[in-house]
This record gives sequence, C-alpha cells and structure tokens, in this order.
Amino acid sequence: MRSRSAWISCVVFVAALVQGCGTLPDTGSFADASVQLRSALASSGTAVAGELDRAKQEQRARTLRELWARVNTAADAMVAYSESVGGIVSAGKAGGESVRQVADAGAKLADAAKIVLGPSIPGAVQLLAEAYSKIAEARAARALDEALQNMQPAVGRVSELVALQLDDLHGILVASSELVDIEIEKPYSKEISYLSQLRQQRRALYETGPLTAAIGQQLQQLDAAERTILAKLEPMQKDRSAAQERLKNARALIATARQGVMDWSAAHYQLLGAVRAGRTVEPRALLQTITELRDLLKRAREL
Amino acid sequence: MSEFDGIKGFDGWSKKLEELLVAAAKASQTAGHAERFEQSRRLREFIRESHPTTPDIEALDEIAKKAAIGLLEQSIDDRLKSMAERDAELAQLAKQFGDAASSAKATAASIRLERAKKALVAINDGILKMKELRELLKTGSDQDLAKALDKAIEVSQSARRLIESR
Repeated sequence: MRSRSAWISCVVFVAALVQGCGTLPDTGSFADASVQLRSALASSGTAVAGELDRAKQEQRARTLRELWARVNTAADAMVAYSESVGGIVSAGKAGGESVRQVADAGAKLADAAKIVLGPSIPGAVQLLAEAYSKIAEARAARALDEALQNMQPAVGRVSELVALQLDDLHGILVASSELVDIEIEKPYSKEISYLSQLRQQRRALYETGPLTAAIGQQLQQLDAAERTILAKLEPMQKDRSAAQERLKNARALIATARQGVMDWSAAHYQLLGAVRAGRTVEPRALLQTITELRDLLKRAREL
Repeated sequence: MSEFDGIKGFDGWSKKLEELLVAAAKASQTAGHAERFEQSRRLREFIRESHPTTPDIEALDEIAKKAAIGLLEQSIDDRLKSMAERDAELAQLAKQFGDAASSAKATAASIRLERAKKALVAINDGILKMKELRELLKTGSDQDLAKALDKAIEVSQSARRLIESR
C-alpha cells in the first residue's frame, strides 16, 4: 500500500513538472482547410481536363488526368497528415479519459481473475487520471512540436510544387478555352467574315465625309444585313457565353486553390509557433480562403 | 484601326498571312506562352477579317487556323511537360506525408495508452478462455477440448505479441 501511494505521489510530481511544457492549439481549421483544398484541387483538374475534351484534345486531356492524379494523391496525403496532427491534439486532451479506460480494462481483468480491488482504487484512478491528463497534454505538445517541425520543409515544398502545377493548369485552361472558342466559331466562319466586312464598310462610310441621304440609306441597309447575320450567330454567342462562364469559374477556383495552398503552408507554420509559444492560433487568412473555396466548389458543381 | 484595315484581294491577304506565319514561327521557338498566345490571337483575327469568302481566301484561313491551333497546342504540351517534371518529387512528398501521418497516429495511440488497454483486454480474454478450458476438462468431449485449447493458445499468443511489440 505504501509503495502504491509513493508511486502515485511520484506521478503527481512528474505531472506538476510537465505542466506548462506546452499548449495544444486547435488544429480543426487546419484539417478542415486540407479537406476543402483537396476538393478544390480535384475540381480544378477535372474542370480543365473537361475543357480539353470540349476542345477535342482528348489525348491531352488523358495526359492531364494522369498527371493530376498525382496532385490528388499528394492532397490525400496532406489531408491524412493534417488529421493525424489533430489526432495527437485530441489524444493529448483526453489523457484523463485514457487512464479511466485502462482502469476499466484493469477492473474487468481483476474481476475475471477474481482479485478483489480495495476501496481506495477509484480515488487513486481519479488522481492518476488528473495527473496523466497533464502528462498526456505535455507529451502531445512535444510530439506535435516534433511532427510539425519535421514536416515544415515538406509542407513548404509541397505547397510550392502544387502552386506551380496550378500555374500550369491555369495556362492549359486559357489555351484550351481558346481552342474551344475556335471550335465554337467553326460552323459560323462565313457569317463571321461577312459581319466583319459589313462593319468595315460602315467604318468606310463614316469616313467619307458629311452624312448624305444616300449614305444614310446605305447605312440602313448595312444595319439590316448586320441584324440578320447577328440573328444567325445567336447560337454561337450562347455557346460562347457558357464557355466564358466556365472559364471565369475555373480561373477563380484555380486562383483560390493556389491561395489556399499558400495559406495552408502558412497555417502550418503558425501552428508550430503556437505550440512553442503556448498560445492558441486562428489562421484567419486560411479560414477566409476555406469559405471562398466552399462557394467556388458549389458553383463549379452547379455548372 | 486594325492591322487588317485596307487589305484587299488574295495577294494582299496572302502577304499578310505570310507576315503572321513568320511571327508565329518565331513565337513557337521562344519559351514565352504570352507571345504564342498573342500570335495565335492575331491569326484568329486574320480568319475573322479576311474577305471575300472565296475558296482561295478560305484556303488561307485554313492555314491560319492550323497555325493558331498549333501554337496553342504547343503551349499546352509545354505546360504538361513541366507538370510531368514535378511528378516524381510530388510522389516522394506524398509518401513523406503518408509516413508522417502513420507516425503521428502511432504517437496519438501511445498517448491514449492503447497498448496498455489492448494488453489488458487480451489478458482478460486469455483468462476467460482458460476458465472455459477448465470447465471443459471436467465435462467436455475431446473435440471440444481441442477447440478450447486452440482458442486459449490463440489469445495467449496475441497477448504475448502485444506485450512484446514496441
């Protein structure tokens, strides 16, 4: 009995020593951002590959999908890492509960082995739980510090690489949208050329000098012809508007995903600082980007 | 005022296209995506502005269109190539993140005292099986006894593995 109380005193002493060794920040927004980022990256790749398909560039679309699968794999690993970092924090915050679970398992074992536990055991478990909750928090803070520090260079590098992939993805998007536009114009080449001639003729008429009745009549004829052509070009304009809307949304998604990657990297660095300084962290830029990403992803899915 | 104003007839358009193709060839040899894009835009403008729509002018338009598409495709291919060059490093980083996640999970499990919990549960299971075995020794058949022995050995081994594992 004496040795048991001496052991408990020792644990309490150690707990008192480790108290203040580290504070566990809230990593929830970091993990949430990783999940949103993964969706944004996947949707960005899908949107651009789809645009290549529309531009009748199926082989290039396949190549892009293959290459983008690697970005998606990296994003999956980033999510797994963010969640596991959160796992350390929650384990650190649940130290008391862990002791109680071990004590429960021990009680069941004692019961099975027909060992009668003394009346002081529940009190000792409570004391141990309180002591271990501090030890667990300190262990978690130390483990978190180590994990974040070890991964900081990799976080920086992966952010750089993903940002570069997004830059190239954006370039492919712009070029493929231009190719889509060529496809959209293809069936209307004669009308477009004719419209261009009509507009040139109108410019020439304006430059001839004062507006005479004859010139006015010619201008009216040109207007009528232009209206006819524009009516024929309406389906093309409709397709073009839809393509421009897609381009606008995909550009916004890529730009926000790029910003998100940079904010994610910065938030990781802030987490490390927070663990060391023993303060909480609220990565505002990251939270704002997550909100933007959510909106953009919703819009991308609606298209 | 457009660069195409005042161009007339096949000769005029042909000469203009030649000028554009020279600029396009130069752009395709440079690494600048913006310059290729600009030349592609000029070629597309040529197609829109060239007239009248006679077969020979249409033939010029076709050449301009192919050149415009070629510049855009070249730009896409260069981008895909750059992406492919980063592929191996991304794979390596993904693995590093996966390893870090596994290690962090193990740390969290250790803080949660999972090994101790599992060991206690396994020993408890062992005791229960041993009790079953003791009962069978009194009343059960040989087949039941063999099964009970197997189970008891199995739980003892799993408890041993847990205790011995780091």
